[in-house]
Amino acid sequence: MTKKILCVPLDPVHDVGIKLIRNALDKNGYETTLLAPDLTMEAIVKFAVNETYDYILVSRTLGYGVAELLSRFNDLLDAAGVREKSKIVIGGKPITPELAAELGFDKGFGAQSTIEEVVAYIEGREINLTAKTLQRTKKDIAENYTYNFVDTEIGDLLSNIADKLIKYADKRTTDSIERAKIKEEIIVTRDAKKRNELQQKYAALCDRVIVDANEKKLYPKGVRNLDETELIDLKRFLDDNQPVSPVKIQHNDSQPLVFKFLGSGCPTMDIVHAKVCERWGINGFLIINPSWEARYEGLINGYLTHENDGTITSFENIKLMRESLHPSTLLTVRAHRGLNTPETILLAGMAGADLAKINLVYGSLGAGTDPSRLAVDGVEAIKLAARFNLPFDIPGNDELSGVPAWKSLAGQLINVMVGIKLGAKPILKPLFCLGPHIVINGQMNQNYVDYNSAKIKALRQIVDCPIWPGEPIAFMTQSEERVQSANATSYHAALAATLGVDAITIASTDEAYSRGPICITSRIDSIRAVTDAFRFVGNSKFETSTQCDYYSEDLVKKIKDVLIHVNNKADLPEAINAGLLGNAEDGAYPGKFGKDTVRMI
Amino acid sequence: MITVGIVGTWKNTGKTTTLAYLLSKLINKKLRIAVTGIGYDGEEIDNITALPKPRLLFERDTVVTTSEKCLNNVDLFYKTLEKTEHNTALGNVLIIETLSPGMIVVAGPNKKSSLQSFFIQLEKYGIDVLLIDGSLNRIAPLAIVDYLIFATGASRSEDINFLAEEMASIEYIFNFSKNKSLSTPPAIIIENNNGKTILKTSSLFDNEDAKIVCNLLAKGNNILSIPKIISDEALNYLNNNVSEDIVVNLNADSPITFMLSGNPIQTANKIKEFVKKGNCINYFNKPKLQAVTVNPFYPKPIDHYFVTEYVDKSELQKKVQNKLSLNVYNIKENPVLELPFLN
Repeated sequence: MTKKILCVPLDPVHDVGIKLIRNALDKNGYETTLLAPDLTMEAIVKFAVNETYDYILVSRTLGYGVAELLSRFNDLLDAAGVREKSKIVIGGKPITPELAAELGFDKGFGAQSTIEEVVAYIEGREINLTAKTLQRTKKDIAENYTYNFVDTEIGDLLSNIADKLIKYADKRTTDSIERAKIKEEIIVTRDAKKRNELQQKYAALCDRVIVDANEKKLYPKGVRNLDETELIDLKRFLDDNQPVSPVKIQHNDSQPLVFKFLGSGCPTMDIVHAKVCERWGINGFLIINPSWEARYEGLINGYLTHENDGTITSFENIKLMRESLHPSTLLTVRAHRGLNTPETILLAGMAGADLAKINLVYGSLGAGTDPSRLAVDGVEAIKLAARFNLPFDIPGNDELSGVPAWKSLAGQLINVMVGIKLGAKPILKPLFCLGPHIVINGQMNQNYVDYNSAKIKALRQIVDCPIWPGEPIAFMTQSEERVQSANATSYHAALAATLGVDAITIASTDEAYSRGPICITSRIDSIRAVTDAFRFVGNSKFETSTQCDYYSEDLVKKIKDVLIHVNNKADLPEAINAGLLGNAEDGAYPGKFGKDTVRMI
Repeated sequence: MITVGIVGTWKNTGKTTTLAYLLSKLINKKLRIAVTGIGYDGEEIDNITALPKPRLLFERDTVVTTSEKCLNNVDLFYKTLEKTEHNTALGNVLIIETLSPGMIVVAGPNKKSSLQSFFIQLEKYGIDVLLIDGSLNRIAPLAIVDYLIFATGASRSEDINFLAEEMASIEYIFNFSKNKSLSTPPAIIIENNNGKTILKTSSLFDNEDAKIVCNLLAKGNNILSIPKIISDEALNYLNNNVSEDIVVNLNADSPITFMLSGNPIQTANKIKEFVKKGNCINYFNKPKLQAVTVNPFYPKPIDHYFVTEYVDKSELQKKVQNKLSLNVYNIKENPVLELPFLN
């Protein structure tokens, strides 16, 4: 027999929700009656008494005093004998199962509930919310790109620059390159004696701090091993908890993938945050490592936790994160600076990461590594990225310094060409927000749309290559206010979506000003904001002003000029040292870590 | 098995604090105690105001009802005595026995008929006293308990005079006698010189319902039995339309019937008017009103948040006591609530 359902909007005005539910129930063949809103409770109860309904669905928003109102309604239904024959269900945005129980209802449906769940309840079916697992496949950001240069003049310049750089690197080696080779053997060898020998060879190429950590377990301050219990507890947590009704951020398939940073210092915290973010639709994560790690020769082994910003780059940590994430979630490992670039890429590849971050220019100018050292390490890193099929993104250095966009993009394009020549899959990462140079020179005084759009347009005029703006988008426009920060991220995300970029990285709403680890609620703030932004723009476009075309043409011209000057130098390190890709006036200085550590083969 | 219900005039009036006090008092008497509730109680944070809530601390060997989903958040050792068929928004109700002191969220049957069958289920565990925790201002399921304790306070209203007036009205409503010879009929029955008329309905919701009844009343004495709801509107209609030569002996289900309007002061005034015309009221069922507790706390809304505030606690207790013959307690200040029915 068809179930009879009474739909009651117990609200003077809001009855949209109950109408949607009623329509769905009608379509499923139920006999529904919808009452008008704003009836007295006694009138509703009298109506319910005169017929026999299997379910009475009550819709009401919650405000102060409304809970008591709903309680009284339940009392009337109980006293009138309606509860003997009808199940009473409450629905409304703030309703939770606990609140429904407190109010005395037989069931409650809230903002996260779906019509499917309501129907399943009425049909007496259990619906497994966790059965709706992430329905997505892992995406290759670099697929469908030819890497052909549209601007052949720039392409030729870059080709010369890249050839010179590769030739420069091929004649040289560093301890990091050697350590990468040894580390690879250590990971694959099963022979304990051989492993021991290799570890000693490895130690000989490391700084004392690293040797003490690996051999004597004397870790730097704030670093310790995760113990067995912690790892077991983490596994149990992951096994016992599944995402409930996971959602998709993108409103359509042409909208970009969305990435977030991890790097609280603790892989356990990172993973828990990542799992929550996955549920909310995040497509991938970038692991941020501690800044001190870049300054030491060698990397520490083990499942390591760190009481400060940055999660330590170890094979075990990367592998733990990779295995804990959903198979469709992408994981990026950062290797664009420091003294361990090739080794980091090796670990990323062997531990199953999906992407890497490499930039020979930024790492030499904004992140402290000697240009010669990073040139040699970076080429090797790109070779390893190619070998392990790790597309690598190339962050710019115009976010934290006053380097103008055209220099930063020129530097990125050099990495692109090197990647192409070595068989790798580079991804451009233009800064997609306000930056110091822009603040000083006013390119975004009128709006944030024109100049950000111009960058994308300029790059597309140069090369057919994936573009992943960051890092993260909107960062310098964020403040300590969570709502404002979420808004800023969402507007930039909307613009990025309309420009057809491949991915974006978004910050949490407390990331710009956090005085400790990022909190999970702040992560969800920005994810929800971007989800709504994507929904808002859908397949529409922003209309730029005429300034956008001017900016993009100017960028292409200036990029070319920079590359001409770089090409006139003997090699990339010389060009970097000469300030061609960022100078003291821009606030960019060649790095010093690893100076004089490159040796000829 | 003695059943004691704790009902609130509003949310946050002190039901949980009263329940916690009763638990501590009864444990000392070496009685087998069971605790259930018609909602959901014992959580750390209020579901609506997000303010901290008083917790329920159970001693070992207490029988408690909870729900399947509440077992994710348990702070004691327990054994499950029974998984019942009573379903709530948080899953089926479970009867458990505590094996250690600790905290657990209480959840139980949410309607009168379920609670009634639940009493029978619990009796087999040798329960001496069953405490039933109310929920918000819900009261209908508790029409079947032996004793009721009312919790009122500033959360209901910051106007202490109003609180006193309202509790006095409730006391007045409860003062009518239970008719021991009667059991609740299935429908409205009118008995007078014209005979016995049984209506199809069992509630008077509005003027329309009351008019039908009025038309069936005869001069002289009438026995009017209404098993379910009597709304204020219907009572008002009776007051205004029953002539002076008609006397009505009204049998209502319980005092709870008259609490359902949500406005005891207004209802009590209408009842007084009804009685003043020479009519009388009896109940089929009547929980004995045992005591009143008062709580000076109220959650004050500021923007989208709530903060903790208090009215003058002495004034609150004094004014409410002055209006009632029942004893009025502030449990936190003076935890001496007497339970003579246990002596």
